Amino acid sequence: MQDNLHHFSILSLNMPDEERLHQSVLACGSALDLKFIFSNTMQAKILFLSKNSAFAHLMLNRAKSDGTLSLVFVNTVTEQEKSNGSLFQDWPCISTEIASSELSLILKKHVKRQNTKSEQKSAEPQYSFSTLAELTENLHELITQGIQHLSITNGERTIFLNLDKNIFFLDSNRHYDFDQSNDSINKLLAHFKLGGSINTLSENTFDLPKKYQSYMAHRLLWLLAEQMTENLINDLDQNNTFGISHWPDFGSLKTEPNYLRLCASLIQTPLTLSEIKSKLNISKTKIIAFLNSSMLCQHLIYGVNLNTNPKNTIATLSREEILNCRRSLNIEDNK
Amino acid sequence: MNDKSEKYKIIFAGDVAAGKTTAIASVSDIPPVQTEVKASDAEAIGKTYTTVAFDYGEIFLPYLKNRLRLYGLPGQTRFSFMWEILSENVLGTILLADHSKHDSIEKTRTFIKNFAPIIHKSGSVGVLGVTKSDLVQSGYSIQNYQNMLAEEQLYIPVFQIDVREKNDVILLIDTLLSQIEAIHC
Repeated sequence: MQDNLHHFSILSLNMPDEERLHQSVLACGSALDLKFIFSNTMQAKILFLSKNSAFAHLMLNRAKSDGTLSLVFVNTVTEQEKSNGSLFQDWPCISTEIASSELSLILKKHVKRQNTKSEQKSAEPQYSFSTLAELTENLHELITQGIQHLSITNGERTIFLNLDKNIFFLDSNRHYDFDQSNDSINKLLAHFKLGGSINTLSENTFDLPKKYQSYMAHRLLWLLAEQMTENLINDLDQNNTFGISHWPDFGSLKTEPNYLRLCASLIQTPLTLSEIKSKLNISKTKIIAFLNSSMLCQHLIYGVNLNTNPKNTIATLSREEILNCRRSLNIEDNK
Repeated sequence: MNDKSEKYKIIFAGDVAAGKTTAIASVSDIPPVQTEVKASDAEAIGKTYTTVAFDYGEIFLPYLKNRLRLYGLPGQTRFSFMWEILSENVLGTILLADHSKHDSIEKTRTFIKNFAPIIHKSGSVGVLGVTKSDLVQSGYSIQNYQNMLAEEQLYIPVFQIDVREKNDVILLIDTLLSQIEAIHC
């Protein structure tokens, strides 16, 4: 359940005398003109937690790392635990005998803080998407506007993108098996195929905890756009010419050999879609995938007359010699 | 050696310890011929053995009944007299840059400045493989290398690769073939 300014979901885990506690909280809600709802959802923003609960450390780690929990009450913490730097020390302590006025005060303070945060948050534009194609289109629009700092989230998983440094961040605790391979990235993207939202962020958001690992952002963008079966360019017509401004780092991208051929041709001379097909004999699907990826990664130039300066080299091989060279080197040639 | 076999020739060039010898060994179908000797200035160049003439390897090209000849040029400028000799009639040039050291970019810049005239003279296509780099930790930026090459009027692809991986070296070779195809076909 989503929290709004007057509406807070609460999860209570293994607290002693929970019923009495719930009654106190509900009474506080009435006094403060706020609605507190007890639920079983992990999306709850307020947590009452017994330090003896099997979930205690797990929940508190989650709260500390991604801020999904905005307030945690823990039942009595000893002085020794505090001085030992216990995980519980950062959160308010509570007992079932807590005075209603004290509880009200804590909750009120928390609500005020949350409202301020919500107001600040609402100032940051959010773009929702319901498919990976929509995610790609929205990202393209934002990147084209020069926005470099973004997050993609579906509530459960979040990717932080810092495009001016060509990196993205993932919570390594949550993505412990992420190895930056294309398979891994595609699995990560699959989590967003049912939707989520993109948020624009300020640069200082990237002061992330150490457990956030960084990876190459262009690889993520390339694989995302590659999955689109339609053109990312809406106004594509047959007479559009496409060129490439500079080579992507295919050493890191680990893509297929035909992209090298496409890139080499389009960096040399801008071509229309039909010219690319006839010159290189590559399927339209592959060409569209390449154009989409190049576009999202900001390598593609289109719809303008490009001045080119064809390079002349001395060594010459015929198309057949090149083809046979590739076959001899076992380079896949999936058209 | 006849004209036919000379046709398929690629050179590997780069500063000392950029990975030329390893790259050739990764893809060669024959045991590479190496002319490494114990370096008299091991400390200065950062490795015990160094190539003084050239490395040589071959990849069989069964569909062409031929061989792709791979020459690794010595990295030290005092052996630069070999560069021009070995750069004649090449299909393409694979430049390598070691990104593992703090002064990697400057060392590569110096090498490329010295070597660029050879590439321009040979008129061959090229590619730069950046080796021994860990993308994020080392602050690797493809842009740094692209800018450095542009200063020498070299507009060639820059890829992050591992020269120990055969597929990565083949990627560099395929990049040369793709450029030749784009220009001539």
